[in-house]
Amino acid sequence: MKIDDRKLIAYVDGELDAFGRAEVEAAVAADPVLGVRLEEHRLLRAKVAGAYANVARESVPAQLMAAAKAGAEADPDNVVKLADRRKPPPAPKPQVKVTLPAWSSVAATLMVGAVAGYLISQQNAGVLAPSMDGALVAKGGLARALNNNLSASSGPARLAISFKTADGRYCRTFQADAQRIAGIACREGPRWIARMTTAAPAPTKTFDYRTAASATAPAVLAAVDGMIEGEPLDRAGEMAAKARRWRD
Amino acid sequence: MDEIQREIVELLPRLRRLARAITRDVADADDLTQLTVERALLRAAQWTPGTRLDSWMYRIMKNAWIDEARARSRQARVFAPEEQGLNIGTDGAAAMEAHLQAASVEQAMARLPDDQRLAVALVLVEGLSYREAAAVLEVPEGTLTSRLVRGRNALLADLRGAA
Repeated sequence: MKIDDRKLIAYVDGELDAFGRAEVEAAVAADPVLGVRLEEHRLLRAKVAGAYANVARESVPAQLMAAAKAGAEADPDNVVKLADRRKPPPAPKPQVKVTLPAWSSVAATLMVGAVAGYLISQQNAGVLAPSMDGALVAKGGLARALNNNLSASSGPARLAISFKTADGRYCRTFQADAQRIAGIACREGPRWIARMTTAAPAPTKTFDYRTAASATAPAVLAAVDGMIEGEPLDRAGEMAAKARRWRD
Repeated sequence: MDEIQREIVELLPRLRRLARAITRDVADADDLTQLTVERALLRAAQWTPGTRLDSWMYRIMKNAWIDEARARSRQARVFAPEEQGLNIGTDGAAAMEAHLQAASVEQAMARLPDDQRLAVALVLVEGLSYREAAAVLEVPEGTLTSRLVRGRNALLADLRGAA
């Protein structure tokens, strides 16, 4: 019987029963070319498995660990209450990805420019970090707030205005008081990408929905004006958008 | 922490490994893992205790990645005309460059179509059986094995071409 690639690969993957294995072994014994092919596939399986083996041995980034442990906050019905009750999370330690080649972080820094360079140098308690494609991505407490909090809820990162852009993205204005950064982050795929950032005004003590707009930095408001399509989302609109994970 | 959260924490190294195999870079891999964890926790009630949590989360990751890939291909189409224009006359040089580069396994994986890369990642990287991998991908076993055969032959050709 002819042994095709499908059967050869099933042999390598341990998917054949005793009869199938004997069949392959007999065919390989009779055909050296088939034997070479089998070895190639064996080697490939080992190579591919080996290429990623070290990932599972790396220590899990703190942010990911926090996401797994903070699950209760993701319950849509509990979010507002929990956000109000929650203590500000401890500032995450500056996190170095050991697998990232040194040049890539340098390149990313150059790409996102001076603002990002400043933020990185401050370690900014992990609210924004450049990704390998050069985008400035919301991290940690800011990412959680963008995902989970409705505007004007309290917390270390405060959201004031949520809106949609002409190309259908959800964007939100944010202010991280500890880092004195304000700006606009837009949902792109699974990430919140900072579209603009500016130094934040000093934190105000009270921050409720009615004063949300006036408490927002003028530079941020001006940028919103240039990006917004239609009206800002009201509370119901935010809840609906949040339920869809800020995607369409 | 709930029981499910404890189990998810234990799964994180493997989830990251799968994410690294199916995305094309480190930052995307951790973002995809995080999205998977968030979605899993949001839908924790849908998981049946006693069934395999890893397979359930792999499926969530697969769906998250497909959503992401769709969004990216929409973006790519918007920019396609200009890029096509720029590439005229450079295809031959680019192809030669690709072969001259010592292609690592990761580079070869990155060049596979998504469906083949997912199949290869689940079986070769995560060590799932065909039945388990087919269930994660929500396809018949025959479809899974076709993707495995095509994907592996493409990897072999790619790695051999670079040697």
